[in-house]
Amino acid sequence: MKTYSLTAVLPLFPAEPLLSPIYNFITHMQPYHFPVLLIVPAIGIDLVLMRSKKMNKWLLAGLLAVVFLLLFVPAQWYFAEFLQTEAARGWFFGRSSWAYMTPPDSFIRYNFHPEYVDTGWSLVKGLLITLPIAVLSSRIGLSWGNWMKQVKR
Amino acid sequence: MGQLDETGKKMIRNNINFLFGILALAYLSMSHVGSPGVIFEGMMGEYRVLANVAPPDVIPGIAIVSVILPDNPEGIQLEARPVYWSAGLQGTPTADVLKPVLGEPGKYEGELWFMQMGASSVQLILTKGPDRFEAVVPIMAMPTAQKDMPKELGMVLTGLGVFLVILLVTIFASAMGDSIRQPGEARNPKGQRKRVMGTAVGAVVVGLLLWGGKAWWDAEARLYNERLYQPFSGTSTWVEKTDGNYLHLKVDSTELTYGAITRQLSYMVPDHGKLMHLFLIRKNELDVFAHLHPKRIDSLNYKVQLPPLPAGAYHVFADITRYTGFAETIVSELIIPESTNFQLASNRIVQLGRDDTYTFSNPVGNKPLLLDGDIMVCGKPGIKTDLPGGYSAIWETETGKFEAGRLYSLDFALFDAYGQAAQLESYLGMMGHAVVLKHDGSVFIHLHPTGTYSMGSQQMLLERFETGKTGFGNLPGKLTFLDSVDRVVAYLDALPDATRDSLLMGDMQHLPYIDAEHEDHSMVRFPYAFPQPGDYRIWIQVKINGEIINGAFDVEVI
Repeated sequence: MKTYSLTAVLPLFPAEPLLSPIYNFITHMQPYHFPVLLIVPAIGIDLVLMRSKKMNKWLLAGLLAVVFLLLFVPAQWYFAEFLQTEAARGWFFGRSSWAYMTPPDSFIRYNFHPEYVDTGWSLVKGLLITLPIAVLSSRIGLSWGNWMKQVKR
Repeated sequence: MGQLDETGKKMIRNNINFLFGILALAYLSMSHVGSPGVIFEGMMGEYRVLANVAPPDVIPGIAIVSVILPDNPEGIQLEARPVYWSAGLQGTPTADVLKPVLGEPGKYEGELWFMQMGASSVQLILTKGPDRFEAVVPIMAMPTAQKDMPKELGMVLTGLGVFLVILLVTIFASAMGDSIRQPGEARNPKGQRKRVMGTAVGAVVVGLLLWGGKAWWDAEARLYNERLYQPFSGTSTWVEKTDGNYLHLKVDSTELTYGAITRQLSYMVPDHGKLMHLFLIRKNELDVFAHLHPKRIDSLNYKVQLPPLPAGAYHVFADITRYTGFAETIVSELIIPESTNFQLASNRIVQLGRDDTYTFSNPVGNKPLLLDGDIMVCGKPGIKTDLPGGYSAIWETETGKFEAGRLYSLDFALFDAYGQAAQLESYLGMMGHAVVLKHDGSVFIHLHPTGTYSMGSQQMLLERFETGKTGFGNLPGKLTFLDSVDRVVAYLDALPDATRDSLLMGDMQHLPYIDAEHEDHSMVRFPYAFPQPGDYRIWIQVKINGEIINGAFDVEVI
């Protein structure tokens, strides 16, 4: 919500670049990027946690990692594709955002940079690397939450 | 396009590098050697303007612009703004006002940010009432220095860092050892153990953070290093042919890490009608000087016929300018062997280009510079040098003393054999050329009465601004461009002097400065600030009676 407020509020203020060179002639502050859809896996994780109070913590961390990836990757993937479309260019999604020092007709303005798009094996490999990291961070998160509940002073 | 986007991203990172860098480690410089400051002299409206720009040595970085109006007019406003070749006038923000310097009437100063690498300029704007005058001073915005953190700041930051590490580890220890104990309850051995464990975990976590930070920082420093301006390396060789001796200059562009378009050699354009101005100066003695104009074989190879020069090691400085406004100097060394046919070479009539010239002067010695009390020009003492053909030149200087970093006007008066003012003609479109060399070769610059910048570069910037084009798309093809430039140079070479000079002068938009004090003799003046103390030799080149006349002067800068 906090980051979204930067997407929504910043462009309401007028501004002009005062440094050279200027390629993109902007007249107002540029919106922050639309926040990533963490809300989707968060709902899934909450649902899992509500039903698995007694589960082994490492097993639970593994389950949470899988749930996170299964929900977050497709949700953000398709949402990101939507953000590149013309429909997302209005005030709400803030996709008009573009720095003054980069040419506005740049080919990556409304496209993913070809170097940053993974498909096939490199995509699978990336996800396979992500999984153990997600397990580990879930496990740390569980311990952290557990500790937070017990903090007395 | 991709290049620019990349620049944008790197810019933010470079910003961080810049913020922490204060001291210069390495010092390189382009466009000229060892003389980073850019000096401009010209007329803006009715006012004579002298501008001295210290370009940024890191990008993004600050250029310091100081402007002197010797007449100190009232009611004027001076502004400046950085204009990039790539972005043009419309891609430049509103100008910053240059503020008058207290205690120095007629002097104005200001700072300008240069955010991206590339050929750029400082646009000066003088307004007086409804009148507005503009001038463009070319600046090569390239990082030339990697800076180091000052020791004092490093010590303070290290102290604060250690304090933060202790605090963070303590937080870990307390979180694990004490946080879940009831308030008021005594610490038990189990809690104590957890505390120790917390210290260990905290130390490991903080250690990992620091290691990651160091790796990131080093990667940034490496990236910045790759972007540092690297001059082209050139190799000059002496080639003996049946029709004479040649210098062959081969430029190596393979080490170019940045500026594939901006520093493209195929985009070379003529400056003063010549594609390349090559200066040969014999090392150590500095007694032999030649100003030649090599022909292009291809974009990496250049050749020129050599005048009969004595054997020895020579400094070779080749000045070039490009369509993108980027001017620089290619430095190399030439060895002329103790030739068996030197005698032969000097007997042979050498067909030098009509603008090519060479001169011999006395070797530099340790003799101190003495003002000749008998020589007075306009009531000022001077240093006299006899020139070939009975001509003489007097360097007018009030004290004969020069300080490094101060802007001077180097004034030379030219006389003919009868002591009368010599009639100066235009040599390559200018009333005079000068070359300044520090004895050890670490400073080299090719000066004109208009200043230290490349006039070809200025012309390219002005023409580009006029077109209103931006970005690096839609540039001319490299091969066709190279061909048409060769054709233009050949056309200029074939023109008679007068036609060519009017063509070259007309292009350069410089206004003659008429000095009432010096009406009775021919003066040529070069604005310059010696960048560092040391011994310098200055060659001036003028054209009198259709002949190119060279003279050398020595000066010690303190």
